[in-house]
Amino acid sequence: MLKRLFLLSFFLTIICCGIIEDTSEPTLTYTYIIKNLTGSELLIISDFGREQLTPNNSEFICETISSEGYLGGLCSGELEIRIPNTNTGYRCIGRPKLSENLCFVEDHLLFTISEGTIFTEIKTRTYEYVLTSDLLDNAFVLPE
Amino acid sequence: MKKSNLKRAIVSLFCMTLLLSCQKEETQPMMQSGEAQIEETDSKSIVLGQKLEIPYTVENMQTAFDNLLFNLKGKSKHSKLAKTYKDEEGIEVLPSHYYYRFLPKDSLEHDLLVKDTVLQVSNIPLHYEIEEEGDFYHDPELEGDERADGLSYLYAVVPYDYPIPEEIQNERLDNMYFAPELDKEEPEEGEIVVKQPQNKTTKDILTVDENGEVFEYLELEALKLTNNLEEDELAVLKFYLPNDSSGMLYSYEEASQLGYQQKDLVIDLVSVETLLEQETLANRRKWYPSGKITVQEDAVNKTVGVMGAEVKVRKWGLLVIRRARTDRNGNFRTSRTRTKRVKYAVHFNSDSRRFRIMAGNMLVRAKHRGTRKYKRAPWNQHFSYGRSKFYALVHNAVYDFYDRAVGKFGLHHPNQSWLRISAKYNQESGDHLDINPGGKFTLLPYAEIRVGRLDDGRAMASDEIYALVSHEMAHASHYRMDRDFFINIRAAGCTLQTMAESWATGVETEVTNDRYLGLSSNYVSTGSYRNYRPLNLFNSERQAREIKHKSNNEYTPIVIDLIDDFNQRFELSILALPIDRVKGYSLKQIQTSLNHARGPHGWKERLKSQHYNSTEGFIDELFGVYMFDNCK
Repeated sequence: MLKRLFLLSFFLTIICCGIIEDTSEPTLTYTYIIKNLTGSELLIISDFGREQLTPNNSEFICETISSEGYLGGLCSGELEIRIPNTNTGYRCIGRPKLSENLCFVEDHLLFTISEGTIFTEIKTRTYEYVLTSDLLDNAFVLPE
Repeated sequence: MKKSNLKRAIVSLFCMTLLLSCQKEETQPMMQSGEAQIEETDSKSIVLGQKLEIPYTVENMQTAFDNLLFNLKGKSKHSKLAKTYKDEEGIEVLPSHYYYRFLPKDSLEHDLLVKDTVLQVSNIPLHYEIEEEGDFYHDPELEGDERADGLSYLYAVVPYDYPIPEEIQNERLDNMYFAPELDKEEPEEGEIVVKQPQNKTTKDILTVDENGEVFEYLELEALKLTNNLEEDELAVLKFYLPNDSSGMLYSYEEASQLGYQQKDLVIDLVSVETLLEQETLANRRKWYPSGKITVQEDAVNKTVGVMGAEVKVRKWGLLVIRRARTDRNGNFRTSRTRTKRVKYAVHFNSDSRRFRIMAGNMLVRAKHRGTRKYKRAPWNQHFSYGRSKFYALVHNAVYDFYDRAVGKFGLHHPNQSWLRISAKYNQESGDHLDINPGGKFTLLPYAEIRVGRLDDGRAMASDEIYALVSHEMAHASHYRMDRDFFINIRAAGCTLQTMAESWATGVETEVTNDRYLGLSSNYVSTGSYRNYRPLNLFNSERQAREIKHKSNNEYTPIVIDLIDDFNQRFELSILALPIDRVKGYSLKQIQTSLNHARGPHGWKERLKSQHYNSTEGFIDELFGVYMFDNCK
């Protein structure tokens, strides 16, 4: 009886479990918002070269699709902010060793949502950073 | 403990073992009833148009032959053919083929029919025009039928001497006579030879007319009787009016203006000679069915060939007369034929690689049928949208896995028997579920791999589809390399699943980037993470992911990190990311060490002991981050 039970158990285990069931990894969307509250219109360039004239009190939004545990920040690893009709603004680069020191913070802090990030999580996987008026005063002269 | 208590305890233990070790399985049986419904709606139903006036029915061919003989002895007695047939009283036209429909009662009967290379069954009626392309046709006659989902009629044009499976419900819809192709043609490269029978009628005709010259006359007469002659033929042919003894000849245009249809008229056989001579002079009597099947690779905005797919050429959309496989560029060509009008179809399968793509349903094979007839013309079919594009991309990804990933990266061949990949147009994501541990027999009508076109409701780009298919193929390859890894109570647990998924993730990453960099050196992956190399390649965002302790995250980038020369902690300045100081391992080396490993420790130690690598001193550090503490 016991022998049969063990044999049956062994057989069923092989049949039921001798397979792999795998589902590909679920994806999640991470949203980043740069909100312009500087009082002036800004030209924001990010998200693989997308240029957007962003009036005061409006937003530049981009998304990255990844999975659980993603720590990357603003899309595409680049952010350029230009103050229209001037040659001033900021250029932030997501690759630390290529930094030009033209960003308003240490470059990499824009490109992570991990410790030290300048983003605030306002909803699940939605991160926001607000540009304020003092940004206009300290802008760098940007090369063409 | 009493003996009965002991038994009870063992039985309880046995039940618990099954429940616990198979916890991932629970979703599968539960899904099946619901899933069948989804599968049914995943494929698209074809829309039929008008019923065809088929010229090749035995009745029509007999009338055509009788007319021809009458004509040869009457109005056209000065034609060349008249001499050959001057003493012939009549030949009975017997079927060379039967047109059947079968109704399988279960998947076994269905399988028996679709695997029959002589029957060449179609799940779509052959005697109707196709108004809208689709995957299947559900006959309204079967409304309310209690057969398994997806089982419907299968249609076939069967040689007269071929024994059909009588045990399967069948109905003979028509008797047909197709004149044989008498010329011996050498098969072209990639061609699959199709044999055609010669029945008594054919033999009788060949006794009188050894070169079978009458066959082309016969076909023209049969086409005329069903109003199927085409403009270029009508422009050359001359006609007598019915019951007109004046002997006056008319063009079709003139006869048409007098209110006559093609089938009312009597063809002047001398004008047929002229037509055939013109075709001979223009070297058009025999031609090569050929063409190119391509698909849009939207990730790099390029057109690429559909590789190794089967193309069937059907005379008038009915009888398969030629079969061929496309080459790597999607080109195909068969030996020459005298058949003027053909329909083409591409079937997404490969017999050399032994896989077939299913149309989101285990009973329907993925294919695309050209809807129109081609008259001595090649078929250049490009898939730029819709289901056929999806099937073609899945087909290419599977084919490429065998052809390139196995060859170039040294990966284990993914199957011993046929691998079935169910391509689900309206569904999410993918999985590999092999219920064929022996590798030789198909135990259940179930696809080993399933891939969906959608990711979180979004249609995936071509590189994402390629990667998903490669991921599932990597599981199939792993399964065939080391079945005991999976035939194991621990296989469903997080630790071994992490090894399997991390391996498949690594394979997916390497072969996808290799494929698309080959297509375009400027390749930037869909959903790219950064705007510079290497972080704009496929799966590069995995470099910015933290595998948290006890997260049960099974898709680690361990394999990617063993290969690449990218230290994410340093390159991205994110402290939570692992330090990756290992580089330079190949997929083949990692696979060799994975083979027979039954845990991450074994895999790690085998990597160190089996291969020399100058960075192997850092392997412990990398495995420590990803592999030992992620499972609860």
